[in-house]
Amino acid sequence: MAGGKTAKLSREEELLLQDFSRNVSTKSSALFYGNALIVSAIPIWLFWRIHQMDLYQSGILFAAMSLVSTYFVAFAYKNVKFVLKHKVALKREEAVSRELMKKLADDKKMTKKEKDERILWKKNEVADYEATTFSIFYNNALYLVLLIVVSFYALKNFNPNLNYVVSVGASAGLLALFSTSSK
Amino acid sequence: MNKTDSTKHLELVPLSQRPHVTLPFFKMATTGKMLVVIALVMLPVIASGDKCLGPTVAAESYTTPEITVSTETIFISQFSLTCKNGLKNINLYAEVAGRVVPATRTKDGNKYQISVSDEHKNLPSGSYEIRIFDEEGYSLLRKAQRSGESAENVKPLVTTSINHQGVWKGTLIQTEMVAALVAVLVWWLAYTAKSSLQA
Repeated sequence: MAGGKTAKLSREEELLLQDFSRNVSTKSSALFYGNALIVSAIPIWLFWRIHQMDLYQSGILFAAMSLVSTYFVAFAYKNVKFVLKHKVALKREEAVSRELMKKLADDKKMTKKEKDERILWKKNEVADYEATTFSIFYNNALYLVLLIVVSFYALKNFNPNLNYVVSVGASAGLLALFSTSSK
Repeated sequence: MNKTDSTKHLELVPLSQRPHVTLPFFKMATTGKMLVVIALVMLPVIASGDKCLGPTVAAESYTTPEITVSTETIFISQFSLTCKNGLKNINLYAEVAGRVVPATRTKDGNKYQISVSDEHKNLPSGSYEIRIFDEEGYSLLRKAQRSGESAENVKPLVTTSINHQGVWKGTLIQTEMVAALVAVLVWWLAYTAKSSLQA
């Protein structure tokens, strides 16, 4: 292929690569870890107030389990986002291209290829964003269901410390497990 | 036998001719008579000290508000009795909801407390009349009860009332059940959205 075209193709390739890789950008990563940390901190409040665990005495336990949970929840976010991104992209493709075409229709200077590239990039961005936010929403909902069911029903009569460790560990672990399903 | 001057004149007089026996009162010395008169005059005053005249009562009460932390319903009434004749430290008894209980009294003799407890269903909500009796009234009440007569006829010293709002039986659904149901509902919506996206 010609040199000029190589640059554009490699950008397309870059986009495709980005599409198919499971790696997330720094910004997404920050978003995921931040959200995961907040969600993992919620059980602390629950156990402090309802199961009456003292905040300072159990501080180390809370911190340790929150970090473990943050890791697993972020892992789940990434997986679900990856699975969803393509499906979302397929669904939104038409709408995005229609919108952009309308916007760029008056611009005669741009070549079709450039327009296509822009559409692809825009589609990627939209799909990325939608998949990210949906993944966070879905995983949070599932995490909270698992947490409530495990800590209030399954482990109701156990020692609060054990209850906290097992319920947070199990919820985060199960979340990570469910996220690895390929469907 | 030494004969005093006062009885000497009776010694030789035959029975039929002896004068009629007079009340010992008239034979007493003057100081003795005065004391008796004073005692007689003071009697109503001392006697009225036993009975509370013109009683008024000021009561505060407590009734069990919920069954979640109580095994029985309890009524507690704390009242102070004021008598117009300034009487204190009398024993009181109260009849409430068909039960007769003695009232415990504080040291300074003015405040009384009664308490009645029973199963929740035996003390339903409503206004209950508390009839307060003194010793006399209480013995009349017991007599009426023993003879099988209605205790309603015995007049109490004073009455007050206690209002029982009823007991709260606790929530219908446990909080964690509500939380779990809401969480499951939210997750279900998310799941259906995800499925439709992946379809």
